[in-house]
Formats: sequence, C-alpha cells, structure tokens
Amino acid sequence: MRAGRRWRGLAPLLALALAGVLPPWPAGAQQQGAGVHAALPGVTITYDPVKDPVEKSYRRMVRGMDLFEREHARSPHGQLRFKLLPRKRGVDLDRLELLVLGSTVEIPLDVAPDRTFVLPRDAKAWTEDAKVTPDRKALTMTWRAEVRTPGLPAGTRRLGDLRLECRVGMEAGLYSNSPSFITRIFSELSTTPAYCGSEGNRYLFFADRPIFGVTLESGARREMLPAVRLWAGAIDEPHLERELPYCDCEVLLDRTFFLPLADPGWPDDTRVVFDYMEDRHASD
Amino acid sequence: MQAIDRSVFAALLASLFLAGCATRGGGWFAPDEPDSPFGDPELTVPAAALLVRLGESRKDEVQGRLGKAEVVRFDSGYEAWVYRARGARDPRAAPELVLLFDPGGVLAKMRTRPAYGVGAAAG
Repeated sequence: MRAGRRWRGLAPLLALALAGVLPPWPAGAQQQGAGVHAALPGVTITYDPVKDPVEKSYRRMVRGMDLFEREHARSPHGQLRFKLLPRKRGVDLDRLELLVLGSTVEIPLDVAPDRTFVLPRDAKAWTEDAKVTPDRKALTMTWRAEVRTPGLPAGTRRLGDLRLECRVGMEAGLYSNSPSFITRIFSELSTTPAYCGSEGNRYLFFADRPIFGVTLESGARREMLPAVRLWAGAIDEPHLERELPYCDCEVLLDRTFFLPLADPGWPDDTRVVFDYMEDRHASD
Repeated sequence: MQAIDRSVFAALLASLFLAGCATRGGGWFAPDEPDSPFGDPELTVPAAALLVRLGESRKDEVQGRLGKAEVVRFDSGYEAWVYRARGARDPRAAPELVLLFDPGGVLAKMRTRPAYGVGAAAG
C-alpha cells in the first residue's frame, strides 16, 4: 500500500496501459515474447486508489513548529500537536494512514484516537521536500494546529494557546478554504501569521463539540462573543448553503467560532469558556 | 444671483445630509441607539427573555411573541434563533437574545448577551 502511494504518479499510465490505450510492449519485444507467454508467472499489480490526496508541505509544517518554539512564551506550558478533521459528510477518519513521504524517505505517523499527531523532525525529509499525506482525497478533510495547556478545567481553553494555534496554522499552511470562501473569510494578507494579529481576522477555530456560546473571562472582565463570531459567521451569510462547500468548516459549522485575537485588551491568560449545545437547559 | 443659488443649494444639501444621519438606527452623528430586533420595538432583550420558557416554548409560539428571528439551521436538527439589535456603531454595544431549539422544536437553551463597551445600549 505504502509503496503504491509512492508510485501513485505512474497510476494514470498504468491505467491507460491496462485499458489497452497504450501499447503494452514494443512490437519487436511482443513478437519475441510470444513464444514464452504461457510460461510467465502471474503478476499482481496494485496501486493506491487515492488520487488527488490531501497533502501538506513537510517543510511548512516544520516552519510552524519553529514558530511555536520561538513564541512559546504565549503558551508557557502549551503542547503542540497537529489535528485532522473531517470536511465532508461520511468521511471516516478512523484507521487513517498518515505518512511523511519524500523521494526516498517514508515515515509513518501515529495518529491518536482524537486524530492528533506529532510531526518528527527529520533532516532527510526536509532535504527531499517531503509531503505529509494521509490516504484520503483532497477536500475530504482539513487540518489545524492544536496548542493545549494541560490541566485546564473542562470546557475551557486559553486565549494565548489559541493565538498560537492561529499563528502556527498560518505558518504551516494548514488553512484550506477554497477561493470563493477565501475572498470572504480571508484577506490577501491571510497566508502569513501576521493575519492572526490583524483586526477583523476570521481564523476559524473548531470546538470539541457543538457550541451554543463562547465567553471570554479575564479577571473581573467577562464578555460573551456575539452571534456573528459563532458558527463561521453564518448569521450574516445569506447564501450559506451555496457557500458552505467552499469552507473547511462545512461539516463542523456548529463547532466553528472566531475570536478577537488582535484585541490587546484580552491577555494571553484569558480563559475561553464554551457553552455546549447539548449541555441542556442552561441559560445565562 | 448665481452665487446665492449655489449657497442655498449647498445649505439644503447639508441639512438633508444631517437629517439623514440623525435617524434612529445608526449614522455618523446618531446616538448609539440600535434598532430593536423584536416585533414590538419597545421590547428589551431582558424583557423578551421573560416571555419564553426553557423546555416548553415552541418555535411558532416564540415567533408569535417576539417576532421573526435570524435563524441558523444545523445538520443535527438544532436551530439557533438570534434577536440582535442592529445599527449600533460598535457591534459590541448591541445586545442579543439567542435561543436554541432542539430537533423537536422545543426551546433547549437561551442566553442574553448584554451590551458591552462605551455607548452600550440598555436593550
């Protein structure tokens, strides 16, 4: 399976040959081989059926890790992992095979049950400009950086962790919205970490479960996010059904939110508190 | 004569501009008083929250009492109904009432978001 993925570039030619479109063998060789045809052993040819797989640049993801190291002060106890999320209905991310794949290097990655993984630093993979590739098609799943401080109360995150997630995610090139949604969600400057510090940025975060509300708490200050910052801003999107397929939040709409990352009035220690939809009958 | 006409015209234009800006619901010189999101414009967000009951109120009943909401529908069958004041200069200053209906159409959760910041509306 893995070897097949390395040779997947030859798969279209192989398919044409099998279909009889390409000559199977040079004419002279065919004549020479005709007499021994019956004596040849059977050959089983396999190749990876995943065409157009999701791929990320290993180098860019390592640059994201470098940024995390440089800016660790935002999240002194935070730990960085990368996360895979579904983008289309019915996509099964269990039993997923994830590889760092270069021209000769091949490193299988362990994906945890929560679909997070750690990327190892490997000089050969860097030199070969390897790709990080799962056995899933493009646009069926999406990626995020995940920075978590251990020991926080359930249903809470730390704003500094999320700021760093945004910066690492942008540096690592993990965003994957299609052009029409990029126009609305992201600006032209949105391909760099600087986007995370720009006023009005709309970097999409995904909560662990569907959210009804999100509140920021810092000391005595407490403020609920307005509805326009929840559910990918769907409340202001009159053509939601038409636009949604272009957003990597397509099947995660009820978990999606964005934060005032650029507001210096909210320090990194600000607590982000989630009110989940299915925690029933609570009101504020 | 032509100069007088021109100044009268300019004054008229300026007064129309100022009148337009001073309307309720926003504008450069308007007080930060956003439009009511409810069918009854005198209804405030806290008062509206008292008109619905968790675990009991249904969608048609809520719409009858509060008016039409902005609705986000989710694949899970849940619906978020948002009543938010519009037209405030600072969006943080606009209060909101947000309701969550479960897939059976019953009010499952509710929250009132007060106005924040300078010029926060009482709403």
